[in-house]
Formats: sequence, structure tokens, C-alpha cells
Amino acid sequence: MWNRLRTVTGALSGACALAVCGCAPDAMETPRQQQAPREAGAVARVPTLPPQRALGALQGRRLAQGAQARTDLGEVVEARWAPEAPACVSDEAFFAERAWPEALGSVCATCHTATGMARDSRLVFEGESAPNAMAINREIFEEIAWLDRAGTPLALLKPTGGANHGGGAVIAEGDSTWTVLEEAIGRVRQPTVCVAPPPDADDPLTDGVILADAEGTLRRAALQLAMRMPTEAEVAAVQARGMGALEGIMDRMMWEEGFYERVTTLFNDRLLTDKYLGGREAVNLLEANHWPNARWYTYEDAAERANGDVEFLDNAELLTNNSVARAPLDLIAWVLRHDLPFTEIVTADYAVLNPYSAFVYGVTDFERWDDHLDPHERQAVQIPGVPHAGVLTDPMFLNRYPTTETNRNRHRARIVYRYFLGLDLLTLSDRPLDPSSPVHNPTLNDPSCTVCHTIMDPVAGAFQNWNARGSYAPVDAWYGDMLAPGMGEWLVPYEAQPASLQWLGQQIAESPDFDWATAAFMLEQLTGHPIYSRPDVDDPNYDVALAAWRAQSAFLSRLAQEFRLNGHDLRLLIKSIVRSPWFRAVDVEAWVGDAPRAIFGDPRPLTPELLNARIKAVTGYPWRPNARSKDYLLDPDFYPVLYGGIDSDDVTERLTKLNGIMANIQQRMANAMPCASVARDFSLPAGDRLLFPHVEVYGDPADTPETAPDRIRDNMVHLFDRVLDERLPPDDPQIDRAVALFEDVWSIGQQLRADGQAERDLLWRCRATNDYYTQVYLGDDRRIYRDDDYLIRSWMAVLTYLLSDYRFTHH
Amino acid sequence: MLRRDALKLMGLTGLAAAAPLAAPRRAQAQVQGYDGPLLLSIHASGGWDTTSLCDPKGQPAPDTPGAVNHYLTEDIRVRGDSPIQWAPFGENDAFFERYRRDLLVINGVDMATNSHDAGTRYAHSGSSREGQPALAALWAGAVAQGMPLGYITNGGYDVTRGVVSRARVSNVGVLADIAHPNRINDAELYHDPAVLARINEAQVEQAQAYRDTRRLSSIRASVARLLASRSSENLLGRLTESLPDLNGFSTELGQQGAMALASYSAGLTAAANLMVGGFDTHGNHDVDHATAMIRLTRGIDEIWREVERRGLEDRVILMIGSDFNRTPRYNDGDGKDHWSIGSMMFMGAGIRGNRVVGATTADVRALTVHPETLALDPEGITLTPAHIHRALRDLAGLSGTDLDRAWPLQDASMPSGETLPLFA
Repeated sequence: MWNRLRTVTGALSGACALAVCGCAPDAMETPRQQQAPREAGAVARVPTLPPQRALGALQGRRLAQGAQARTDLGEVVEARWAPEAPACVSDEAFFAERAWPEALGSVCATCHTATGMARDSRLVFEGESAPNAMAINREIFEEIAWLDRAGTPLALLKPTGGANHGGGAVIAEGDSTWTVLEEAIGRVRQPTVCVAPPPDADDPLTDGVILADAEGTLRRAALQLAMRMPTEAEVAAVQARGMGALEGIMDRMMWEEGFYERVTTLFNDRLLTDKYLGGREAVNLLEANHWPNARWYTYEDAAERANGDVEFLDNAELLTNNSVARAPLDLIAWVLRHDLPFTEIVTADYAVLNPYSAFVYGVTDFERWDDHLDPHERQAVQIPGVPHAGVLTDPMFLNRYPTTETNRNRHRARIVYRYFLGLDLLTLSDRPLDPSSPVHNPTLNDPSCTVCHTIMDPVAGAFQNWNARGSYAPVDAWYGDMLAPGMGEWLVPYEAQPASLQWLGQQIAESPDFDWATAAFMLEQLTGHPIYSRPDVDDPNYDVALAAWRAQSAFLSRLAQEFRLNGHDLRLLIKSIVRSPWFRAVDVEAWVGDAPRAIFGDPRPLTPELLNARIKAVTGYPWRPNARSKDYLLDPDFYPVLYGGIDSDDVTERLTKLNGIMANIQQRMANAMPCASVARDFSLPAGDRLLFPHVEVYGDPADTPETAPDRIRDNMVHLFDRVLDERLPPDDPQIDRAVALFEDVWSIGQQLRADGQAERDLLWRCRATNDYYTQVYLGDDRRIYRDDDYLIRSWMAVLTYLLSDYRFTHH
Repeated sequence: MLRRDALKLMGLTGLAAAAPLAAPRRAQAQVQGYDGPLLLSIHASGGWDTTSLCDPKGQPAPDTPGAVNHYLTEDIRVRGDSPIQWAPFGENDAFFERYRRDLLVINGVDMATNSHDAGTRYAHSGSSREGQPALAALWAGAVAQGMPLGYITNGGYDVTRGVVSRARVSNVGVLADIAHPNRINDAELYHDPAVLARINEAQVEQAQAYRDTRRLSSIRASVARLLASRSSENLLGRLTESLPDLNGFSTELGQQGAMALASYSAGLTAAANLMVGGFDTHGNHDVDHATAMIRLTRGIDEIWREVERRGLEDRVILMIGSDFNRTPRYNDGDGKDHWSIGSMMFMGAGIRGNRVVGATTADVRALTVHPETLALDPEGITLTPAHIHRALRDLAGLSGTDLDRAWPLQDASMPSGETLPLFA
């Protein structure tokens, strides 16, 4: 943070005490020309390295990195991380190690060579024995990788039999060869740049650290990135090819809907604009004189306004409100859905709207939508008269971080620095303040105020054209007793004044601090690591804290460099984090002191959203009162806040340590979910079951501890794998313990049944008689409601035991 | 799992290492729940205006330029039986008439910042250092470590640095279900009690086995926390039984307090953060600040009436503070901005009331006090939150404990760490 602070503040000077909401400025104005030693109208941009030049400059390091990368491929067992291990597979290494041997060389080059059957085609590879063949063939491939037909890469279309491929279909869409080719094409179109880590930066912290193996990393990544469990094919791929296989898998995961849901949740933790979901919270914030359609559905002429479309009117209130509320998060998801540079979240010259939010903002032509009743259809829309700058100009963002007459957008400036540039201005303001300062206009002249205000006030000025209600209301001139609108050393140029937030968005996008802030945010969100501050010298654990801060800073710097050089591709940033020991560390080889702790952060319970996703992924069913209800862990009327989540309003910080209420919520879930899922799972054919593929509860005889001990043990192995991500041998003590539980509960059940204290039938809510969602009767051959042998209840006990396990509920 | 098992596990994993050597009264006897003192830390969020509360200034005549307040100085409330003065503002009259004999008012406290975060941190931890645990967290960490709701927070400054887990209990409606996780309804259970007992036994075995395979102390401690938290199931049931009807409380602050008191009465809680917002009145100060102030004073009144109803007057301590103060003048928007010289108030168990310590000038600049007599003394010291927290730690029996040493109170104005007899 300290080094970064220097970057942000640049040539700015002085000591600081900050008043985000005003530092008691005197009323007298200061002449504008006296404000700062900055030339009026001066414009400059933060210099950036052109991408091509940057790539070239790093070429040497990429080659070296590629050589190292080979050592990482195929790793399947727990590995001790070494600092020199690659954190990134270069494009060159990928081509040599994967694309050529697995696809181009082994499939395409069987025909596409000078002597092959396709020698007369436009694609002719060099024979492998030729000098420098790999480099030449890579160049050849890079040429064809850019070719598309009907929106599909020709290099994928041809081998699957399309585009009149002379050899017909030689691979199938989605198979392993196709997957490798797909990634190879992607790497040509969006080069990956690997930057070597700073020498020795992470040594003390990773020494002796045990990392999750490839499969373990896959399971973690699947939950964190796609909010699901890995598929069998994905598990098989990493079992066969180790971490190398994870690359393509992550690429695909990050195009799934679960990824966008996850990203939306993550970024709401930052923007907190979900505060306005529900009711009329969002639309009530909009000024009627700017947005006369804001509450159109409440007006007498609502039907007329809706062009007579009664259906559009039917659900208008809630859909409209939530669509407006979600617009800033929808923009972020849009940037990812369209694979745009992530900087567009602050530079996009459009808003992302659906038919309902568009209607509010005056875009009322239904013809532009495929289905104007579909709230999920979104478009990038330029609202007439609005100079968009990504989320910065979204009315929800502006209302969430409001301003007042005396605050003068300083709160918004603080948020910009904190969220998009990684600087918490409030950390600069801790030094004692002298309330007796006689200085005139202290925010401009008192050293105890100016350092922070010198940073903050120009950015506050850049919000000059947006009023307290988040409407675009251009001003003739900004306050004369504040620094002029700008950022850092640079002023908003005269011609850009009406769209000064667009100018600000560009400055943010070009600042290396945006890269660092994004990297830090994603690391914190995906791993649970807090972003360390440089410790005070009187910190009781100074040495440990200093080492942690240094190591994390080094890693973040590396991530930030990669992020910029990779064109602000958030997916590549995420992949770098997942590959790193910061994501994969699971334990230490031996206790060697406090130092290794920094790489782990603190263990924490899964968030309500992730636990909710995991429950459904593992059991196949959601945890909710009934099929048509919201999930307990997501419904604000139930558990999300009690379980440590946020409501985006009063509660904006997540709990990271378990408390008694959270533990009881876990217990309740662990008791309830077996009731919802065990009988239903048994109602399926064995091959379709998620939980119990190896045992039967009906039969002659059924699989009791006496009749089928081996099958019970096999299923226990399966349950540990599915629920806890633990691959254990059948004779593992943990399996023994679970089997003993099953046997004991079964015995207890026999006794209860014999004593007449247990019913023959399952409780009504624990039966499987109807389809969970449709309530359609399952049929006599599938329904399960009897539990004569107490077997279903015994398995329910086992599932309760596993769902309440630490490994299920915690990161 | 039996609670003694959880405590044993905590000891094995180092969780108990932070427990004080000299814990307050009855703090060691935890098996049946906590019954030592309860600290309620009330935060007026946004920065209150103490000249509209307990450090009144007023103006000599209507429309005096640069006046601190819009009310007249002659209207400042004074009673012959008390040194406490208050502003004719909001519902102050009702509040101070009832509680002035119980209140300790400390004026002229130098918060040393105009930053919301830093001021809030300083007020509730006694240190401006980032990451310093809140006093309420230290308190709960010392006497209620491992209790399921040892430290309840409704916001404000609630940094714990791991000495205790924070809990939220605002959603009363679902607490009954949470308190009885095996109960489907009054007639049905998910598992037969005998089965559940066997599951619980296996859970403890499994957790202990897992812990033993981990070499990372943070994971071991986290597993221990899970087990300790689960041991609270029956105790949580007590909470639902002791809850009052929250509809009887007109303020959110009162409801927060009632929940904390119910949890305390159930033996689950040793400290709680309560919060009321709306004090950051940069515009339209008198109207908006009065609204917030009424929520504060009325809320405190509701809390104390609930304290009295439960007969807990000798067990509950109220600490009332804010981010900082507001400027001794109005801005162009008839609002008030940030000002670093403020006040704090205390009442309850161990607090000698009907007192004012410290003072400010007419334009709200701090006057210094003698460090021993606490009388105003031009050669004395400026009061800071560090002084107040030093004395609070003494009052709470925290001084000299491991927690006290781990999180020292250091302040430029209190280099030697002297203790002022604020609560003596």
C-alpha cells in the first residue's frame, strides 16, 4: 500500500488529515488561478506501454518461462511449491507442449504437409524434422487462427467436418483435441503474457507449503468460479493431465452462467448497489424531471405509456425496479460476457439495460428487443444526452455514494480511489488534527488537510456534472474554493468538461493502480486473504506482518502487470490467482513458525451464496422451504445476514469467523437436506444417482450392514468424494468412522422400530413421491415412502454427518 | 458435544490462550453460561453534535453571526442538583431529567481526526492504530470466549482481530428455528434424539481427527471454533425463551438493546455493539440532527428501562460515543461539518454518575484537566479516547491481561500510559 500510495500521490505533497465530508472549509473563496501549481487546461495521460512493444519486451522472459512451464504439466500429486515454478503457461510453451502434439501434429499434420494428402490446400505444415519446425509451424498456425467463417474459427470448423473440409470430420466438437485447438486459437487472438515473479519475493512464505493437487484445485475452482462441482469429464481430464488440463477447463467455466452470477455477487460486495433491489427502492431515487418514465407504471396513463402493452405492465413494478438497480452489475457482467477489456467498467460509453430499465431511461421502442417482456435480454444502450462512463455514471452508483452541498462529491471521490484505484484515503487521515488551526480554507491551505484533499478534491470535481440524485446536470463552473476537476497532476481539459467523468474513467483505466486494485480485489474475493497493509512498527507481530505484506505485495504487483499486458482480461487474472499458491495452499509440511500463515489467510466459512451453491451441487436439491420458495441462504427474510452475509445496506461487511448462530444454521441445513434429498436420490436408477449409486434400500435383501458391508463401504467412499472432495481408500479410518456411524444408527433404528418408537414410513416431507419441482407423481415404481429397515434414515444420518463436516462448510 | 469438551479443545488449539489472567467476577464459571457484566457499546454513527447534547453552547442572541447553535445560551438546561448541562434540543429534557444522576459526561475529548473511520476506531478501541480490536471485542474475548453469541454486533466499530467471533441476531423471527436445528415443527424432528446423539458423537470424533492431521494452527483453531459454536445449541434455545416482544420498542436502538439483553439473560453474551445512524448532518443540521438525537436518547431510555425490568442495573455498562463532533458553526447549507473535539458518556454498573469531566471553550476547543484530580487545569492534559479506554480496561479488569498487553493503548498525549481516575 505504501509504495502504491507514492504512485497515486505522485508529486503531491504535504501532511494530511482528511474530511471526506468536508474539512470545515471557510466560506471565503479562493481565486481559481491560485488553486494549485497546475496549468489550467493542461492535459496529459498516464504513459502506457503499447501492447505490442510490451509483448516484445517480455519475449525473452516468456521463452524462459516456457521452459519452466514444462515441469508443471502433468502434476497430479500434492506438490511442494517452489518459487521458481511457473505461474503461467506461455503461448509458446502451450503450442509446443499441447497444441502441436495433441492436435496439430497428431491430427492435422497427418495430411497437411508437403507430402500429405492435403498438400494442395492452403494449410501446409513443416515436417517435424525440419530445422526450427516448431517455430515455423507456430507461425503458420497463427495465420489460420485468425480466420473465421460465420463467426466460428475456421481452424475449429474444418476438422469437425465443416467448411467443405476435404478430410471430413476428424475430431468432434468438445473432445479433448477440439478443446486444445480452441485454446490454441484463443491464445493467438489474445496472447498470454507471463511475467516472472520478482526473485525471492515469496520464498519465506511458501517454503514447506503443501498445495492442493490438480484435482483439488479443480474442485475449489469449480465452486469459486462457476458455483458448481466439476463434471466427471473435468475430473478425468485433470487426473490424466494435471494442472495443464485445468487451463481449458477454467476457460470454459468462466463462460457459464454460474460465473456471471458469481462475479455479480463479488462486485456487489464492492458496489453495494443491490441495496436497491425490491420494492421501488431504485426507481424512487430517480428524479422525475430527468426520467419521467421512472415510475411510469404508477401513472394513470400507464397503459398508454406502455404503448398499450398490458403484459409489459403486468409485472412492471418489480421488474423495472430491479432492472434499474442491477444496471451497474449488469454492465460488469456484460463486459465479461463480451470478452471486453475490464477497464470498460469505467469507460463504457453505454449503459447495459433490459427492456424495463431502458423504458425508464427513455428508450421506449420495443422493436429493438427480441422479446420486450424478457428481463434477461440486455443491450448496450446509449441513453440520449448522457455521457456514459461505465458504472461511474450509473444513477444507482451515484445514489449509493451520495453527495451534499458541502460534501461536493468528495465521498464519491473517496469511493473511486478505494474501489478502482486501491487507495483508501481514510488511511491517510489518522494523524492528529489540530482543531485550532487558524488557516483560511483549510482543505486548500492547511497542510493537515491538503494532502488528502489534494488527492481527493480534483476527482470530486470530475463528478461536477452529476447531481446528488445521480442525474446528469452540467454546471457552468465548479467551486472556486476547491482544486479544479482532474486526477493526480492532470486537469480535465476544457473541451472535456461536459463529460468529465468520461475523462476520469479514461484516467482510471490507464492508471496502473486500476490493475493493482482489481488484482487485489479478486485475490481477496477468491482466496479470502485480506489485503495486508504495511504494518506499524509497534505491531506485536511486526516481523510476520511485514513478511506477509511484502510477499503479498510482490504477488499483487505481478498480477497487476499481467493484467495490463493481457489487455485487462479478467479471466486471465483469475486463472493466475487460481494457479498460484495463494489459492492452492492447503497445509504445511511441518510446523516451522508463523511465517507460512501469510499465504493461507484465515480459514473462513463459505459465504451464504457459495454454501448455497455447494448444497445444491452436492445433493441435487436446493435448501428452501418448498420448491417454489427462495433459498434459505439467499432469502433476506431468512438466513443470509445471520449467516454472515450482507444486505448491501446496513450490513456491508461479511463475517469471516463462525459464531453460534452460524453453526446452528449449518446444523439445521445438515439435518434438513438429507430429508429433502436422500429418498429422492434413491428413487432414481442407480446410474443416475448423485449420492447413492452403490447401494439399495429396497430389495430382497436390501443392502444392510449384514448383507452388503462392501457396497456400503463403497458408497461411503463415494460420499466422501462427492461431499467433501476427499478421495479415500475403502480402509481409511475416516471411512471406518462413517461406516460405524451408519451401522450404529441402523442398530438404533432396529431397536426403535422394535420398541414401536419409530414409524415404518418416512416423515411426509422426507418422502420421494412427487417430482420436487413439478410435484408430478413419480409413479409406483419410483416412489419411496417406506423405510421398514431404517436404512434410508441411516443414510440420512450419514449425510447429516458429512454436510456438517468442517470441510463442507469452510474454505 | 459437552461444553467442557469444547473448552478443552479450545485449550488444545490455543484459542484459550488469550483469556485474561484476572478475568472479572464469575467469568471463569462458564459451563452454565455467562453472568458477568455486560458491556453495551452504543455508537452514534456519522459524528454527533455534542453542543446539541451534553456540551451546550448556544448563541447569546437570535441570529448571532457565526453562532455555534441556533438555540439561545440562556435556554441551556441546568439543574441545581447536577453539574451536567444539556442543550434544549430534541428530547434531551426527558432524557437528562431521568438519567442525569446516572450519567458520567466526559467533554473535551480530542478525537484527533475528522475521518469517520479513524474517529470511530479511536472512540471504541482507544487507539487510532488500524486493526486495533474494539473494547467490546476484547471484553467478550476475555470473558466469553467460545460463547455462541459472546459478542453481538449491529455495526459500528467491531474489529475483533480474532479474539472473539462476532454475531448478528437482528432477525428475531427465525431464531427459534436456528435455536432448534433438529426440529421441523412442534411435532416432528429430522432425526430421532438417539440418532442425533450418535451423529453428534461422530462429528466430534471426526473434527478432532481432522484437526489432528492439520499442521496449520489457524485451521486447528477454526475447527475448534466450529465445535465450540455447536455446543451452544441448547443455550440458543434459552435466547428464544427470554426474548421480549420487540414491538414494544419504538426505536431500532431499543430493539438492538433488547436483543442483547435477552441474549445476556440467556447467558450467551458479554458485549454488544449497538448503533444508531443519521448524525452526519452536513446540511439542514438542526432538523436532521434532532431526529437522530431523538432516536439515540429515546433508544437509550428504552434500553435502560429494559435493564431495569430485568433487574440488571448492577450488571450492565453503557458506553456512548460517536465518530467525533460537529463544527461549532453552521455551513452555507445550514449544516455542520466535522470537528475533532468531542464527548463520551457512560452509565451503569461501576459508573459513578452525576458528573462531568473535562470541558471545552465557547468555540469547542478542548480544555485540559489535572491528571489526578480531573479538575480543569491549564497545565494539565488533554483528554483522549486512549485515556478513557485505559480507565475502562481497569474498570473491566482487563488491565494487565494478555489481551491488554497484546493490544496496548499508546497515544502521543499519554506516553506513559497513565490511568486517570475517570471511573473511580
